[in-house]
Amino acid sequence: MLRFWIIFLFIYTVDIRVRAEAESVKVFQDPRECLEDLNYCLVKNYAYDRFYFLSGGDEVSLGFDAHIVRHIPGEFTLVKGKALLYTKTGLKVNTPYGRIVFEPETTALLTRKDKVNEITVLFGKARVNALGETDPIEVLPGYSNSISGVKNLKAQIEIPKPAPIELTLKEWAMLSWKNKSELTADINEFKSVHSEASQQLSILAREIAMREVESHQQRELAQQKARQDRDLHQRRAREKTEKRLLLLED
Amino acid sequence: MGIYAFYLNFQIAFSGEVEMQAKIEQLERQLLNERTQKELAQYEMESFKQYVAMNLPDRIEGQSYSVRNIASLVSPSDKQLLDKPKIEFNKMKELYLEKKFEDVNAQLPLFIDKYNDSAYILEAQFLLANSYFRVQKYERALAAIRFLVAQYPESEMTGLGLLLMGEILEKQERWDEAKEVYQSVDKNFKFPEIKKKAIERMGKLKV
Repeated sequence: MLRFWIIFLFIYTVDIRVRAEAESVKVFQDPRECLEDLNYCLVKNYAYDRFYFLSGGDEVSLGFDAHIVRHIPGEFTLVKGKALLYTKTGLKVNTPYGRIVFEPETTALLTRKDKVNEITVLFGKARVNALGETDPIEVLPGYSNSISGVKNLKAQIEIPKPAPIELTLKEWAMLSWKNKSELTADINEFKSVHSEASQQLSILAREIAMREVESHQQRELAQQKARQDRDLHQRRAREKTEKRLLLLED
Repeated sequence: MGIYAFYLNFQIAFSGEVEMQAKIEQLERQLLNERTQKELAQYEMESFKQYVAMNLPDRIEGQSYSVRNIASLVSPSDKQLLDKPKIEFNKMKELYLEKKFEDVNAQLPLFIDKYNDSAYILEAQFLLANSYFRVQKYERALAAIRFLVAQYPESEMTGLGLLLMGEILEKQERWDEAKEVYQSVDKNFKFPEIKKKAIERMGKLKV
């Protein structure tokens, strides 16, 4: 009994209390818990880690400080930051400069930073419908492209180029929701896709260079022919004059 | 231990921690909401900029952007508004010519107040000074003339207004002040008719 009172007095004096920490909001959703259904949902990731969510047939992983809005299932707007997307049935992502349409079974990295939207297709295919452009530009696996503000009545879009491999793998690894073995398998597959893209680009670059050389050679030939024609014309003119002079002398 | 558990529950229940916690959570959510809404607004602004850039009137021949900009501000209904002061002022003039001075005195200050940036203000103030003079409201007439002197010191109408001021001062038998006004007109105004009139009036003054 005495022991009980000693313990009680001790606890009373020390005043140990269990403090419940206010649970801080790591991922902001508006309306609250809106990811649980498939309606309009604004999601902002304040956690210093990726935030993964499933939306119908689409899987999305948001990086720190990323902000995305789901309008309806299959249609999103990336307001800010980085996102890794996988779509089973196809997906549309709105940007201020146009719309990116992902074909079914596509995995891609999307970034919006400093008024530029970048897209890197890991697997599958995407089309970029830039403002002011009539035809969409395709982004194939292993390639990346960027789209930015309107200039001369057209959104500025680059020529697709092979994705910067190190940066892509780093961002992918950071945002991926897959386990290590699955991710490694995917990365190995992507590496072969990427090297193919790089080779295609080098073939394309070689073709462009060849065309350049050819056109240069053609220009040279044309110039040479023009010089020959001019010389011939001058020689004929001289001969004609000489004949006339001879006639005068006669 | 039971007592201790009771003590803990008792303390938590009455310390206000739970309420405070809820309040913190609510405020935190409010803050995050504001931040996300700001980001969304920036995004929408960027989208709107692209919309404007896409609709620039480069392709409209013979119209510069600035012209279109002004044209967009001035709609056909605004053109009618631009003519409205002229129409209303002409009505005031008609009333004055019909010698309906009380009507003019009632309506002209309202006109001046309403169209205080119009081109008719100078003429309106002069007309008002004359109208007050006609009904012997001299102080009000003088106030209107002072306005002309302050706002349009080099205008011909201000010179005429000062002649009227001299006449009012004469009527009030303020001869010295009237003389000063005429001298001022003679010295500062370049209009020969007004100068001549001022000199004539000075000659007739009972000093």
